[in-house]
Amino acid sequence: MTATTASAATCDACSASVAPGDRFCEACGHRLGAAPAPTATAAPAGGATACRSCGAVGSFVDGWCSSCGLKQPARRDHLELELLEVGVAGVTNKGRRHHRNEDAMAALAGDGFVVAVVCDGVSTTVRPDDASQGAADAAAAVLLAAGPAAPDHGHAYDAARAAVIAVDFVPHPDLGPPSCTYLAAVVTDAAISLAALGDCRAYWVDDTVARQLTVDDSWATAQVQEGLMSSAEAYADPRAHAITAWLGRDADPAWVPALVEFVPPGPGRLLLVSDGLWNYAHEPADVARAMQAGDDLAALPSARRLIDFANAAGGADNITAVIVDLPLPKGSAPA
Amino acid sequence: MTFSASAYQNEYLPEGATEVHAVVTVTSEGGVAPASASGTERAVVLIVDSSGSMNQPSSKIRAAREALAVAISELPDGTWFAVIAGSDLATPAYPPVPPGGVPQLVEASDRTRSEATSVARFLVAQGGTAISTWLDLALVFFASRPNAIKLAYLLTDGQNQHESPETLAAALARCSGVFQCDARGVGADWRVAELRQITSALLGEVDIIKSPDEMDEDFHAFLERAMGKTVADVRLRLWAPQGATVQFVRQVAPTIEDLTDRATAVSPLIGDFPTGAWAGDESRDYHVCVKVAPGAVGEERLAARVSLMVGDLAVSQALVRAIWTNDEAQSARIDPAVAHYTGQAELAAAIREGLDARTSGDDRTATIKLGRAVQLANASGNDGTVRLLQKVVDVEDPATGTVRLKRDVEALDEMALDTRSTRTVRVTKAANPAPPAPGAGA
Repeated sequence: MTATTASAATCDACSASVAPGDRFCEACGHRLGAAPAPTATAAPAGGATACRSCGAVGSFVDGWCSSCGLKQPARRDHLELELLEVGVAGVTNKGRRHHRNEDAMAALAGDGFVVAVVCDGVSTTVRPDDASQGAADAAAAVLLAAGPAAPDHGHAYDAARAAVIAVDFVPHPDLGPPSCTYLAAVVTDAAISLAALGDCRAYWVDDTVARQLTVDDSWATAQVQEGLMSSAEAYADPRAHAITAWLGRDADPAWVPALVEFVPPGPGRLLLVSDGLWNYAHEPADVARAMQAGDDLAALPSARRLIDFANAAGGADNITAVIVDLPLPKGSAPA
Repeated sequence: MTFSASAYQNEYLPEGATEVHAVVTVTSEGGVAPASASGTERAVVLIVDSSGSMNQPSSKIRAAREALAVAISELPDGTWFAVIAGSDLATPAYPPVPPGGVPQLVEASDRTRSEATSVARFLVAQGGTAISTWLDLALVFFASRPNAIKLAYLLTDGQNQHESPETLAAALARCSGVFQCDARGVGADWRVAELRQITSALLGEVDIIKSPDEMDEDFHAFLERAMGKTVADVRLRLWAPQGATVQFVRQVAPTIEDLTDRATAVSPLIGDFPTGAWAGDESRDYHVCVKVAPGAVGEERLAARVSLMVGDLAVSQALVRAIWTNDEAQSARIDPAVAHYTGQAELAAAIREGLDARTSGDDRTATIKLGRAVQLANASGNDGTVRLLQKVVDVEDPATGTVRLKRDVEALDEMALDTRSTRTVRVTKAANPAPPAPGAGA
């Protein structure tokens, strides 16, 4: 056997024999020859996906590439929701610097009203992604059942808290028990009712105004409120984003979400976002600009723009944006 | 019996980092089945040094005879066994091999126990020492019960004088993976390194029997451990990604044993490390270190998958992950288990190096190394090792590791420290992290 024929018939990493046309060695996963790394669009037919790092095809075990070990994209890395019968959409995204998406969102449409919830898992705790998803789903269900006449934020918050506490976890020496922040909205044409704990924010944006409706439970906000620092000084501090209240087993029982009632002045849009977005858009006008509000896009493309904006700016944290357009369409109630 | 495996690690790495550490704790549960009731076959070969030195003093051979006789009388019915008398050649003491026949294990019963006990009581000490012949005869005996859990116990009082180290190494290579062997040195005339070579290769433990009257108890303890074993040939299977290097795989509890070079390649990315037989109520810790390609911030990779293999079946697995982050608070943390066992490995090495330096007359290095050992043993709550060290050095301050070498040290105490230097303690909440080493030259 000569060297030239050998190189065509064996893997140059492990010397196992390979079939002509094989792109990867079946024995060791080594990429054969000089074939270009497959891209997403060049994924092989038949449902087999290629690892986006090493290009090995269809050899994932429990979500890990069995050649290079890369964690394969998780469902929650990027999720979109859209309530087609009403103008409601949301996008949540892992961002560019975190290894998983710990934000969660939920939105449900009732008879003439919409409920939406955004929760941000606390990254210094165990299983924050399960905490945030549990809280968002539980709160949305309670708020939908209670209806819009008297939004039941108390029970919704209790349900969210119970869901967070119910997350099964192994205690960790340096991480807290599962925890997340909380922002819930019950929306009709006549009233927006909000409950907020932590640092997810709600904004109102219309043709003339962009304003923040909620107040962060954060170190920076506390400094400004107590007159100790200017907003600019507070946000320049490394402690700025430390939250001062959250949901979880170790949360102070005295912490309850702040309730905000807002009467929409007319047509416009409610935004619920996590700090992964507003980190890059501190003022309400910045958020409106990031969404390019003047373009008059529908809710889903607008939410995508916000995600793209934050990722382009660095994507240091998970990013979530849920949009509710008012007025709600007439006769939009689900059957 | 069931196995479980869990990994303890800080999976968060700073940007550019490539070394991933984890401690994998493997625990077996399900109790110890009585020997006769379970379907598990156990085979035990007792190898007793019967070279001439066992007569000097004669209390050694007398104690060995008595201890052996007691051990044999305790063998449960159904256990397969043999007794080898070892000198410069190996003699099948029991069962006898018929002329032209092949050595075969015998099943324990009233009759065989009684016959073997009588033989043991008349063991004669004469001749030299060639341990390879003893191991090779054990290999032949074990071949008669290929499916049994195979455990040998080797008792000697001297050095392997009558053959070359290469001959012993070759025998160990033949026996490795076939049977496990514990080794015991009686008195102070044997060499720790020699017996450790045997037990490392044959997945056993080495220990010292300071005085002949302790043989009895040690034989008894061996049999008890042997009868507890219910699953043979358990292996740790390690998958590491393409391009990664397995830096080391060591057992770190109950004793330190480096398995890195013991891997059998299953495929280019997978290697099997032998762990021997397991009882139904064991827990062992393994420290795994894998070097992987650096990932981008926000990337998560599997750095190793550790599976516990019984035959071809993966009975449990633990994942070792790597997540690159720019959050220093997350990446700076060192996992307490990893820190603890890094300290225990350094402790064992410091003892070994300190004793070597002492032997070669380098008192300065010996003082530094043994001082560091005292400091590490003290900080980790390894009281057994602290007590052994105190027989070799006078401790002025355990916290800083300030010690003075003792002028007169009993050879037995030094050997006890050497043989037991690899014993570790488990991580406890009370254990402190390993203190920083004192400045060089301080």
